Parts: sequence; C-alpha cells; structure tokens
Amino acid sequence: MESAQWYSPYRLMRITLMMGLGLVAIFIEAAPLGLSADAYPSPDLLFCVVAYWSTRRPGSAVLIAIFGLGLTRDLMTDVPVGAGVLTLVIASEFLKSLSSGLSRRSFATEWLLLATVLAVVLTTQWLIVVILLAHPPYLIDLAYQWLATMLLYPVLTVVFRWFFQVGWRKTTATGPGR
Amino acid sequence: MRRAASPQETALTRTVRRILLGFVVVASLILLALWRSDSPRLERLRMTLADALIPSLGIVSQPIELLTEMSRGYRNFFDVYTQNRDLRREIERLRAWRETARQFEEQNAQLRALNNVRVAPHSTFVTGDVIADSGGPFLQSAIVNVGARDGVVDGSAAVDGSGLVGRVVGIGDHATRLLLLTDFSSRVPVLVQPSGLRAILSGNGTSAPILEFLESPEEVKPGDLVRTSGDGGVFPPNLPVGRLVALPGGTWRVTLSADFARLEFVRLLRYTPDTRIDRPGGLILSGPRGVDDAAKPITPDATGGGG
Repeated sequence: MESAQWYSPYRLMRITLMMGLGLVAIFIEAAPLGLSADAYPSPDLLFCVVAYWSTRRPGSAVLIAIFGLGLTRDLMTDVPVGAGVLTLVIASEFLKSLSSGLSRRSFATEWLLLATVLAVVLTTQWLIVVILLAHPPYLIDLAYQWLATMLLYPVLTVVFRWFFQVGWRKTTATGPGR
Repeated sequence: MRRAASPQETALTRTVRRILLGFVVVASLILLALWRSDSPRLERLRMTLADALIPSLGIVSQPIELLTEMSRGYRNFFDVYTQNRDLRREIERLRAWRETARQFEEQNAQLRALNNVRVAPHSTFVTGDVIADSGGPFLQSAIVNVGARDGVVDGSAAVDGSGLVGRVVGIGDHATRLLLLTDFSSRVPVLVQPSGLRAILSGNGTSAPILEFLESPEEVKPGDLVRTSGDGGVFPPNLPVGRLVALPGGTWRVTLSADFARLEFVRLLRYTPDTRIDRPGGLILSGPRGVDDAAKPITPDATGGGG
C-alpha cells in the first residue's frame, strides 16, 4: 500500500531515480563525441527524461528538481543559461497538466504531442537568443536535434518502462498524482 | 490504499506550486540576464559545478569515448593495408630525418658552447584531456580536466598537435572551459603568409571560420598559410591556424589545421608577451598585475605534464 503523502518512500525513490537519470542524460549530452562544428548535435536526453516523468508520474516530477537539472544542463552544456531551464520547467508543467488525459491515449498521440512541445521549446530558445541579440544557432542544427530526440524517445520509453518499472499511474486521482 | 486529497490540501498545494513556479521563472530570467551580460559570477558558478562533476563526467564519458573509438577503428579496419604501407614509407623517411636532426643537434651544441649563449626558457604548457563538449548547436566549447591548480591562466591558447584549437574562457580548480575557434563569438588576430597581411579570424559555427578585415585581398591566394599574429598579447605569434580557401563573392575562409573531429588532448600554453613600452611611464612602472601573475612557473606536479 502506497501513501499519497509527499514523503512516501516510493515517491522519494521515483524522484531520486528521475534526478539520477537526468544527471546521466546531461553527462551523455556533454560527452565529447566530436568537437567538429559539422558534428551532429546531441539529442536532448534530459527533455526525454523530464517529459516521461511529467506525463507518467507528474507527482514525482518535482518543480525544484527539474529546475536543478535544467540549470545543471545549462551550465554544463551550451544552452543559453536561463533559457534552457525556463523552457524545460514550463514544458514540464504543461505536460503534467495533460497527464490524466494522455494516459487514455495511444503512444502515437503522446509522441506527436511531445514532438510539438519539443519543437516549441527549441524555437523559444532560438527566439530568446535572437531577441537578446546574441548569435543564434543554425535552424538546421536545431532540426537535427529535434529529430534525433524524437527518434530516441520511444527507445527510452521502453527502457524506463521495462527496466526501471516506471509506467502510467494505475488510477487517475483528482490530486497532482504521484 | 490511496488517500483522497482534501479540497484545502489541494488548494494549498496549488498555491505553493504557483509561488514556486513564479520563483523559478524569475530566477531563470535573472540567470538569462547574467548570461547575456557575460557575468564572471556565472562563469565562476559554471566552473565550480564543472569541478564538482568532473569525476562523474569521466565515468560516463570514458565508455562513450571507447565506443566511439571502436566504431572509428572498425571503419579504419578496411583501410589497414594501405595505412600500413604508408606508415612504413613514412618511417623510412623519418629515419633519414632523425640522423640529420642528430647532426644538427651536435653542431648546435658546439656553437652554443663557443658563444656562451643564454637560451631563453622554453614556453610552458599543460596538457589536458577533453572530458566534455557543448553538446548542442548553440555554442562550440569544451571542458578540459586541468585547471588553476595546474597553472592554467585565463585567455591561454589551446593547441593540438597540428594547430590552434581555441582559448581558455573559464577556469576552475580542476577544470577549464575552452571557446573553440569555430564558435560564433571567437575572434583571433591572424597573419597570412607569405604576404604578411593581417586579418581577424571570426568563428561562424562552421568548420571553416571567415577571414575578416583583410586589407588587400588581391595579395593573398588559396592555400596560403594562416598563423596567429600575436596582436593583442593574448595568443603567442606564429601558431599555425589553417590554410586559406576562396569562396565565390570574394569571401575568404580558413580550413583549420587542428583536427577537431579527433580532439582528445589539448595543450594549454602559458604565454607572457614581450615587454613593450606602449604608454607614458611604461619604462618605469611595472606591467599589469595579470602579467606578473602569469609569469609564475608551473608547479612540477601539474597533471598531464608540461614542457
């Protein structure tokens, strides 16, 4: 029997797991796979982790934890500091609000929704850089990143579901869920 | 058994979440303003985090690097016969050069002994392992596992075996952040040889940065060598940068000498510019503080060695 209280050990375990996987995602993104300017950009693995938790376990996708992960990613990689974390947190809150409805939909619907959200996230980051009169990246590179991320998302979904046993909530409570 | 949340609890949770969200949005906007203004505080925060995460970064990046190397090795496997033949030919050629170099070395030592010449100290450097890169399309930077503890100074030039790679823009105790030549904000004063014309190499997010402010483009031709000019006193002069390439429309680009695709180790140079008298009283007063600090020798325990 699980308790819905915030200090439930199961919930704390899921929060810890999300943070651990988020850190691994950041480290993989930052791994030096090729410093050439022509190299393909790394997929946004942190977005995949946060999106999965926000839709499947919104109660465990804690705002402050996601802020910490987003800020770490901004500082360790190349995303404009502040823009990356802001878009990640807002995307997470948006996905959390759709969690109950998504659990009754197909995976294809979820994938399409996440693809749209990621496109909005990357476009917003690009626009912020343009508005701040800094050098924006080439849009083709952002498109590669979007494509690589969305191709990888189904694979990560299988890993999170079958390896870490994190799936949809069994019931949809009226509260924020777990 | 799930406990249903009471209406008061739900309202309180929502209020707390809204306040937290507001706090996060404001904090993000402040961070964005600091990022845009190139705040040194943000760079310090970045390097403190890099210092703390270096051991974990190594654990994750090493297997990934190994896999990349294996994949590269698999591709090279098919070229192994040709490579072997070329390498044997190269070894024969280098053997002849080695003998010549030995003769020159002996001759040089005899001449120095005759003249009692005091040789200037060698320029020093620290070698570091590239442990992280920027990952995405926004910036071209890398993190190296040597820092202030190893004697790295801000602005140092970073080179690989073939040429200039970039410069140091952030220093932690155990980590250093490099801005690569290909980044949008990279600007390096260069010299085109043999014409001797000066220009600025501007990064543009591609592997061939643009050559700007070239005085007489008609005096240069494709294939000309591009080296650092040493203007500004940040980079040592005569570091190889790349070769000129002409584009339609009169634009000149530079194909870089450094092999960015296989960049695993970099050397961070310690360079102190020559004494120059460029201001009134410059002969009497000592130079700026940074120059004196930079002149301190590297400690022998610097990781990665030095030379």
